[in-house]
Parts: sequence; structure tokens; C-alpha cells
Amino acid sequence: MRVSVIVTMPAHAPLRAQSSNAFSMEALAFNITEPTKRGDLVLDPSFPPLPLAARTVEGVSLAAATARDAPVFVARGTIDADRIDDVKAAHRGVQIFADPEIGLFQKPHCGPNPVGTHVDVARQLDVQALKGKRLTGRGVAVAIMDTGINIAHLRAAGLRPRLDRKVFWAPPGVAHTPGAYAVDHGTMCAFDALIAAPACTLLDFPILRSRTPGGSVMAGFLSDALLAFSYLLTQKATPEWKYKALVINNSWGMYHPSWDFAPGHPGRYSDNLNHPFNIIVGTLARAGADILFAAGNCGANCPDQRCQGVTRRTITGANAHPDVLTLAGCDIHDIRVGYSSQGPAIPGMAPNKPDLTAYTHFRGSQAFGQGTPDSGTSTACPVAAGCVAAIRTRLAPGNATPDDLFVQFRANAAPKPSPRPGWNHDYGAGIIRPVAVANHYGL
Amino acid sequence: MPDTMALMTIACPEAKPGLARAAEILGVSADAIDAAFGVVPIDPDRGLYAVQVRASALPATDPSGQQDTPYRGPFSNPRIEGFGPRRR
Repeated sequence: MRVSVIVTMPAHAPLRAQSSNAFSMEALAFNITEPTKRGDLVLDPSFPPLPLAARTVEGVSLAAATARDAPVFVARGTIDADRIDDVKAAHRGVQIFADPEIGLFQKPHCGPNPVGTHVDVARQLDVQALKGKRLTGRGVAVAIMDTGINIAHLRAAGLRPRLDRKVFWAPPGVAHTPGAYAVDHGTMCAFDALIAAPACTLLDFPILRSRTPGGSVMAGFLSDALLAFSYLLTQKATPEWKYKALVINNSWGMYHPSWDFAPGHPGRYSDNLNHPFNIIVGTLARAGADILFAAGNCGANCPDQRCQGVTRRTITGANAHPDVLTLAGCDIHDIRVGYSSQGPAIPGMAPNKPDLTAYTHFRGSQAFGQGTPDSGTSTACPVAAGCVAAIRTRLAPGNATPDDLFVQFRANAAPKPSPRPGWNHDYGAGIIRPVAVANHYGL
Repeated sequence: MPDTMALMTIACPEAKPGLARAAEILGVSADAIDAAFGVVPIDPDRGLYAVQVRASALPATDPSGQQDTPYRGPFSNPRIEGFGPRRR
């Protein structure tokens, strides 16, 4: 295998001349007309020999770093990795160093302003191609486990949402008004699911409006989610269930380990697959539901203040369940947002979380005011849920289990950082690419 | 001050239990069970259900969770929040 290398070689007259010419005011470009070959080492003709000052016990003499005085020159080339020692042995004074590929390190987005719009997201996901394949989410139910949906807001935004008012559950004390909750986080999630699956049917589960003692707006208790999941498990088994598939969006979780029992407690949620909520997640997945969870907003670059500074091993509980698809977030330029929680997950759960990355931090629902972004991994999750629902339009769970489908979503993701394939703690398998998944299944 | 509720799981492979049967499995009186929460199927194929029980009525449990009883718990019931913006 040929590898890129940096070569240093002792000075000699032709090198000094080449270097001098290359950096003279007259020379606008340096060219060696013939590549230099030393054994199996091929020097790059476009890279001029650079004079290198020698290091002495007194330090580095910059005055000696000229074509006239330098004792050593540096060049660039390629060599067969197996021949490096041979070349070094045959050419006294030649040293060969690695010349690794480098790239721009783009800083993850942390600012308050949106990056692009939902139109850009639709373009990145190639929603037009999905539509061309009749993958619109028609006949697929997407349950939004959140603060409730406001259908009027979605209509005002130009969408034509479908809502099933009969398949519905709310915690005790919460009004039974599916589709008519105050515009909030849940409406944002619904909007984002509809980007890739505009014809899906929304199911409204306002579990984060719990009136359980101690609760607050935008908060709930895990027992509410347990009841909602159990309701869906039961509904899905009834003869009245009319949907081809069920996708469950969960843009919620715990922000800090102090919300849970202490480490080591047998009733702890974070790292315990025997916790009743983690059990029912597995049961519902085995029953054919595609369950998606947000990774969380405790990424190291700009964690949410509710993370209280904890940014390691923050993907916990059902968000790190082996049977769910866990979503990190990136902006429309495919760059991870700085608050997106990074893997690996907490020990005891599936380690390679997040699974995948989807888009967030764009202007979309404007549920939080004009010009505000749909943000958080809360947005990435329903963007991905819409993609899953789109695929399910023509791919029944009987033909591809949730686990099979999630494997393909990972396998067909755009590797990030590209072009290196495989899992990494920032992006998981990469950026979601639903059309590639559709093509894999021949849809 | 109201008694806190403990989240428990019970094993009842024969059939879905009612509140009275759930109380029997746990060794508590029926009025200790949270009737509003009910008996919640979490893995019916394995006969597993979740219930909420008044914490003060719970029998002594082995904190290791290894004891040979048809119930497990108490389990954590943490607060959960959205991973997105908050309305100010």
C-alpha cells in the first residue's frame, strides 16, 4: 500500500537551487518536470524542497532556514509502506515521516440562531425522491410522546396534518383534547416528523404535561410514558388497529443522573434493562413498533444547563436501549450541533449510542416564536421518525422488523466524519439518508 | 402529606391479574395499590406487569433484587423533560 510521506534529506547543490528558484520573487510556481525517484520513493513534483533549519543544543537557528544555508530540506512524496526501511537504508540521511490526511475541523454549532430552514432539511433528505417512490408515510401512525400537538399551528404553517383523535392517551388530570394543546415542544416535534412523512397520521400523547405531584410544564414522569406505551401495546393488538406500521417519537429523557436512583441501586432506570419502562420498550419493539429516542442535549461543546456540567455517558435509560434508534443532531451542513449528546452510552445499556444523526437547529415550526429554530436532539428525533415512517409506507414490519430496518438506516447513513465508515461517538453511523434505505429495499 | 407511590413489577404468568390479585402477589392490602395506575402489562408474554403501591405498605424487599419473589422493585420513576427549547 502506498502512503503519503514527508521526507527530509541532507542538502546538496541541486536541492538548494530548486528551493531557491521556487521561492524567488521571479518564480510564481515551482515545477519539477520529472518526478524524483529514490528507490520506491516518488517525490511530489509540485511540492518545492523547503529549507529546514537544524536544531542544535542552542536551539533552532532561523537564520539557517534558507535555501543557501539549510543543512536539510523537506519534501513530500509517496512510498510503498513496506519499502520505507529499504529507502532509508539506501540513502544516508534521508528520514521519512507520516503525512496524515488533515481536514478542516468545523466547530459544532452552538449559537441561538437557526441554520437554514425545513426546506433545506427536506432537500438534504431528498424528500422529493421519497415522494417519487410513494414513500410519504400514508397509512403509518407516528406517535408523538411529548407536550401535545396543536394542529391549528401546523395548518397555519402550511401543512395538512392528519390526526387520529381516537388513538390517544393523556396522564391523569390532563385535558383530553388531542391536537388542541398549547403550541409547545410537541407541536415542534410533529412539524418535524411531517417533513419526510407529510401523509402520516399523528397520534397525540401529551405525556410531558403530567400533573403528577412535583411535575411542571414540559415535564412528566417516567410512569406516564410507561402507561402511554402500554396503551399503545394494547391498541396495536386490537382488531380496530388500522395502521401499516407504528413509529414512536420520544424527544425526551433525563438530563442529569441525580434525577434517578443512585448508581448500584437495583431499581435504577439509567442502566437497568430490567426496569419496567425498559422492559416495555423491548416488548413494543418486538411487537413491531419502530421506537426512536433523542440522544440528549449534554454534548461537550455547549451542554444544556440542566445537564449540570455532566457531559460523559449521558445517554441513559431507554435513550440507550438496544431496541431503539437513538438520534444525535447536526445542522443542515452536516455538522454536529455542539449540544448533541455524545457516546458511548452509560455502561449496562447498548454502548454504541447515538446510532445515527439527523437534522436540527433549523427554522421550521417556529413553535417558540417567529425566527426561532426547531432545536435540540428533540428535533433530530422526529426528523428521523418521519424518515422511518416514509420507508414504512411500503415496508411492513412483517417484512423488516424494527431491528432490521434500523440496521439498514445505520448501514446506509452518510459516514461522518467522511469518508471513514463505522460508528463514532459524535455521529454514530453518520447522517441519515432515507433514500439509500429505500433503494436497499428496492422501494 | 400524601404517601409516595413505589413502582413495582409483578410476575403473573397465568393471566392478567386484577388489583386484588396484584395486591395478593405483593402481600399488601388492595387499597395500597394505585387503582388509577392499574395493573399495566409490560411484557404479557412473560406475564410481567407494573403496578404502583403505597411505599409505606410495601413488604421488606431485598435491595439486591435477587430474592425469589414474584415481584421486583421499587423502581425509579424519574422526572423526564423534552430535549429541546423551553417556553420562557
